[in-house]
Amino acid sequence: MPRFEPRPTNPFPLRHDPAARVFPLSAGQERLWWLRQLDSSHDQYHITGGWRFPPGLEPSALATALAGLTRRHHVLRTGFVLLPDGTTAQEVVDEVEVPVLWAGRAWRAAVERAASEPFDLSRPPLLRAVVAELEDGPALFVAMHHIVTDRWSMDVFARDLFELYGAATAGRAPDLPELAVQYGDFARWQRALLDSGRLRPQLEYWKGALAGHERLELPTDRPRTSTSTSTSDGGGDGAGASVVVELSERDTAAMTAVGWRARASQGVVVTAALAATLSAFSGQDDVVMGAVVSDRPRLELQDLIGFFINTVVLRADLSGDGLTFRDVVVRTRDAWMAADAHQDVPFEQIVGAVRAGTEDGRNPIFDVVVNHAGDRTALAEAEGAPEWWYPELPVTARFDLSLTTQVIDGRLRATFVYRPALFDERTVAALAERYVRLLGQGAADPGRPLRELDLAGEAAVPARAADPAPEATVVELVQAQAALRPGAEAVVGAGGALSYGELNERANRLARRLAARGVGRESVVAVCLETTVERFVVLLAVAKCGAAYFPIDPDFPPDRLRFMLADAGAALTIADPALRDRLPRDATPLLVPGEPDPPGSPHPSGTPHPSGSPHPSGSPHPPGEPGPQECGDPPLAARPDDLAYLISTSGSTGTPKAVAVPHRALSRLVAGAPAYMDVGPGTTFMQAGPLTFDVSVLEWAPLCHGGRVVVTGTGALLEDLGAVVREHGVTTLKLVSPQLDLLVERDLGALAGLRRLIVGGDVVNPRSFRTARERLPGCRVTASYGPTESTVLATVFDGVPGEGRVPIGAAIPYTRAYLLDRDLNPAPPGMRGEIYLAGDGLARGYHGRPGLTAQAFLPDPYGPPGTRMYRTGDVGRLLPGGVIDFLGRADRQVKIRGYRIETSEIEHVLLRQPAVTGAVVLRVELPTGPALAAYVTAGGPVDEAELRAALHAALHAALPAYMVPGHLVVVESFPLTANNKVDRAALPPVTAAPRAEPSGALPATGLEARIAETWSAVLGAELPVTADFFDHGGHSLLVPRATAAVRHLLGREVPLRLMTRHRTPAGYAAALLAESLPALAAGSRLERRSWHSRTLGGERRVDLYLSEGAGADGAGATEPGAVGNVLVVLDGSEFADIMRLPAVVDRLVHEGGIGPTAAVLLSPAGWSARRAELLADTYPDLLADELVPYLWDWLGPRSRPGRATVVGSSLGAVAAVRAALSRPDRFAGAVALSGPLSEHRLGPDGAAPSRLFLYASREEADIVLDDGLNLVEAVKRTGEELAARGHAVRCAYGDGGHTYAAWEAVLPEALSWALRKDRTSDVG
Amino acid sequence: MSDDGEFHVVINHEEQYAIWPVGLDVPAGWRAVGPAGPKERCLASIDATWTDLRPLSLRRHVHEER
Repeated sequence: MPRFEPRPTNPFPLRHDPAARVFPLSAGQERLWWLRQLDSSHDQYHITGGWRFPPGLEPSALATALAGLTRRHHVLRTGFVLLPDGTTAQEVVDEVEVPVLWAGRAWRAAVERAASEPFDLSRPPLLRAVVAELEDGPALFVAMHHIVTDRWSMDVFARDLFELYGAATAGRAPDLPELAVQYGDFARWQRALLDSGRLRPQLEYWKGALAGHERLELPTDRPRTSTSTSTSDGGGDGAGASVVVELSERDTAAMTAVGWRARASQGVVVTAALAATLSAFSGQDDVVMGAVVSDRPRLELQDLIGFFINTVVLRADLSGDGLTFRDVVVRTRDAWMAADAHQDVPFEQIVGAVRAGTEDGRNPIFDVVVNHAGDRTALAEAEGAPEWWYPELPVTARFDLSLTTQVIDGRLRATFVYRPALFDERTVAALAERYVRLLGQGAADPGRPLRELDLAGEAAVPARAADPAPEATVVELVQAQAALRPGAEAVVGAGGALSYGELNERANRLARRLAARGVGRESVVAVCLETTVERFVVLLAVAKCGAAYFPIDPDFPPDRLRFMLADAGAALTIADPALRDRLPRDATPLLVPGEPDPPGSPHPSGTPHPSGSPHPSGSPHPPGEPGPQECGDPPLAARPDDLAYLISTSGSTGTPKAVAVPHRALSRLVAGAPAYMDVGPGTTFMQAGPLTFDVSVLEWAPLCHGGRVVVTGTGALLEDLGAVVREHGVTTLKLVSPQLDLLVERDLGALAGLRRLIVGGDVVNPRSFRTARERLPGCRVTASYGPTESTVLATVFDGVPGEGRVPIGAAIPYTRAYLLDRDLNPAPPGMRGEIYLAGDGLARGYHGRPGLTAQAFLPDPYGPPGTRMYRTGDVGRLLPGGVIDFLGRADRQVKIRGYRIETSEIEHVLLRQPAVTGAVVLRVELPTGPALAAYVTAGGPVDEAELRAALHAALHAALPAYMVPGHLVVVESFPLTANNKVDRAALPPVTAAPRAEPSGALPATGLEARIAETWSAVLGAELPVTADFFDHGGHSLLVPRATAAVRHLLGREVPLRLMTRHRTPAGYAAALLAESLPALAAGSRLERRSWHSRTLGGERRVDLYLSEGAGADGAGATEPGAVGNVLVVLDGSEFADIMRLPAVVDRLVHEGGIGPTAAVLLSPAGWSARRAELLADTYPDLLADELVPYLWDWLGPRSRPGRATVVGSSLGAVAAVRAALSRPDRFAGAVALSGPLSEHRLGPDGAAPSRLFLYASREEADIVLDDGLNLVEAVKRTGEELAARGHAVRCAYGDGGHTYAAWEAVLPEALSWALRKDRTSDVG
Repeated sequence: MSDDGEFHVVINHEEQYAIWPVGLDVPAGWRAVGPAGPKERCLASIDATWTDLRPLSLRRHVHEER
């Protein structure tokens, strides 16, 4: 047993301070306070209690008792406030009145309202009561905010209240001992420890304990969106639902005994069972969850009402083979003890330290919480304890899933509360059932490996083997059809039509020719054929020889083809004349149907063929067309276990591998086909893929059942499909899902007349599927799934899909589909499992790859002895009715920043967008670390930027931030592999800048720079402008401080929640601007332009402004002289967007303080270039000779307003004064706010005196300049010097520091003075 | 199935090879051959041993026909 440091005791004295009224918040309260700021409308954190009273409940006595209670427990008269510096405090007031509603018999609505109505945390009491008249007497219901109470406290509340009430009715003094301390004392005591630095090693412990932890990802029934959960920003309604299960008395006793022997509490045992259950449901063995513990570390705290619970992080490692229940209990116990010993570190600090962020809408670190309430029974069950009353209330879910356990009458009752926005009841019920089974069986047999326990229940045990598939090969079946209906059309399309009789005869002839070339059982014949009806002559002929066909694509690079042919051991290649020249010449002997065999045939298979003898048949018929004596069926050669075909698939190792499929498997596909597609006489089947794609194998099914197959080209983009379907009367069409998407985009009407549409491919676009169902009346639409290793198909679904994904359905005939957990046990319904396939459809393996075969085709523990099952690598879960929900590729589960992400989920979101026809999401490795990249195809020509913006918005709306790809690439089409799967490796690499600039990017505007600076100060570490606050050690409790600093900067209210949505300084700055567009007067005009400067080069933002009364409301041309004042404003974006200078001028003009005014506001090219720009020697001339004329041009040709006033702040103030002094021809003066004036040379003085308004904020005395003066002194000294030189100077001093708020506040005074005409100086 | 840990090399009546996690009961119709080991080692040994992927019954049949 590992040894743990015990929890350190708090060395500070816990003392009551009778004088104090204001206290800090405890760490737990701080978190609740924060959650409440994010979401002010909900009641998730209300605690309720109810008790029955003896008949004749006395109103005045109750009032006395409640008053006594609030006097006794200060926390009941405490309110919570945010101080201006972003810190919080709790304040005790002297007296409060508890609202009591006497609801009588109509109490239900009153109780519900009392329980759900939000409290204003700043206004005590955070408590309200309802008196109800029940059938058998009165009862009291109270609702309180969690911030002042907890479950245990409710027993204290009841005990004290009943004593006070009893005393009041009896007219005696209550028998309650004086409380030694109050909650505020506790909070201050706790804070002393937190602030002492003694917990630093504990924080280090958590960093280590959670290093590399993996977030638990339970498969949800609905995708998680930022509004499906509600512990944070704005969304969700906190609605919950619950599932309750019970353990038998015997199992409860056994469970307690297991715990006792392992020196673990009951709480540990129930937690251990939950950890094991969660591990099973998630498929993860690193289980991180929260545990609620009651934390009253001192005796004096036992009798207090207050928030004394702590939620600790438990991380249980459940990896390893043969894990027993006892192992799980011991590991959980160790995790528990470690967490307990380090529980003094506030959760928020842990979140910050491990950079777990606060993903929008999601609890940091864990989503599942366990709470064993075993320890509160003592007080509640004490003799004479008040009888509880539990009116039924709507369940609220504080977490995705929480488990509360309690032993009642010797039986463990487990209540699972979940969010219905994420989970269906059946999913949680399945989890709960498995939990109880595990707890019961684990307790009964703690030394037995968990995987040997019977945890699945009856429902999930896979069906035993179905009947074996009929063994008749496709050769026998097609021959039988040829005998039965020789004149019926078998194949039609390009190259005409063939009846069954013709097809069979021609195949017989070719088969003899092939046999003559040595083709027979065990041979592999490569085929390279055009899409014509002839291909079936070839395929059937190969099959008749007992050989396997191997489709190849002439477009492959020759080296790859050579490799494939050699690897497959192809004895011969049959190629159409048009394609033969595109094949490597030396790879195999070649046979071209319709051409004579080359001299030298026959020859032994596999040997290179030299030139040689004439065709052995010596046929008098045209080359390749043997005589009638050769038209009869040759003797059957192929046996069920002989190979029917090989299909090449890309291998993970980089070289292709061939899946070898025996006749047995093909027979199984063909025999079962009528169950889900129409293939009999009178039907016409078509699929639009090449032969190299195994969907083409489905064409055997109609041929074996008397139906018709259409084989013809449909154009690269299926543009001819509609015509083909109409011309040939196609009834059954098989498409892969990108093909259906294409048709849905274009015109589904082309498919009218279909009776059956089968859509396969790993992610069937639900929108396309639904559209097809709606728009093709009379057509059954079926989704299909199946890897090549299970012979084209494994499962089909033709039901009605729910919202979200289209299920892949249930196993087709002669096939078994299992969902198995890591221990290869069946996953219970709803639980994530890997899909395994078994039955007669299995391939023999990978041709010539024994090792690969052995690891993919495993023994099937659920099938007949000695049979195999194929491990698909796909993940799914079982829905009711035995239907499988496809969750994605196991290997497409990617991990980024500790989050496990199913990329298919993101693909689904993209596919739901109207413009998107296809989507692939990948994990990419970038220099900055792993990231997600999304590739999409659009239906037609689109504005890429617009599409990207729309998709970005949609992704953000549907997914948590960590799942939103940082890179979004619009591609024309997806590169496909040989098998029509998206070739992920061939997608263009992501090199472009991600959606935000890489971290370390420079700020673009002053606002970004100032916010980054402000947040960095709060974090105590430098934060780049594009970096996520929450990824750099930020946590929610720092948000009020960071926001308070921004409020100070801007001088206005900024909502706290803005930061949880906009987590980078750049994003936050943009959001701030969007929130505060200035409202301008109707008559004024503001225009933003991009301006090119000849002097400095490059493009800059300029804003052009014209106030009312200056002709702005006219046609644009201004009357000469109408514009009295001109402003040239530096750092224009800040003055325009943040300090709202145009609105300030509007007001001044409107109030008559100044005359009609025009302004040009110039922004620097970039924040990093700003300093050099402002201080450039050429800058005054640039303003005078380039910018002012530009304003004139804008105002209109006839307008030549007078000299301008230059406005700037900080370094801009220096530039403003310089410009005014050096170019008096153009500038009448300057407004210089908080400028480090003494640091810079301001001259030269021009000929004319200037009018200068200099301002500093008194707090800026803290800013010491390079010359040793502080900023206030610099302004004063400079003002005196300039006045002495004959300039009109006014120095003004204000409050607010070096902030936009301060500058905005002084603008009216500054502008009014600067634009006035008198010349007095005021430099005092 | 976890890819870590030890595996058996197992073989069935058709002399098809596969791997199976140590610690789980070997399914009926299969038996372990050779020592258990990490997956890669098992697969390498199968690559060396299982040179003909055809099921035994088929191999026999082909042999008899010749």
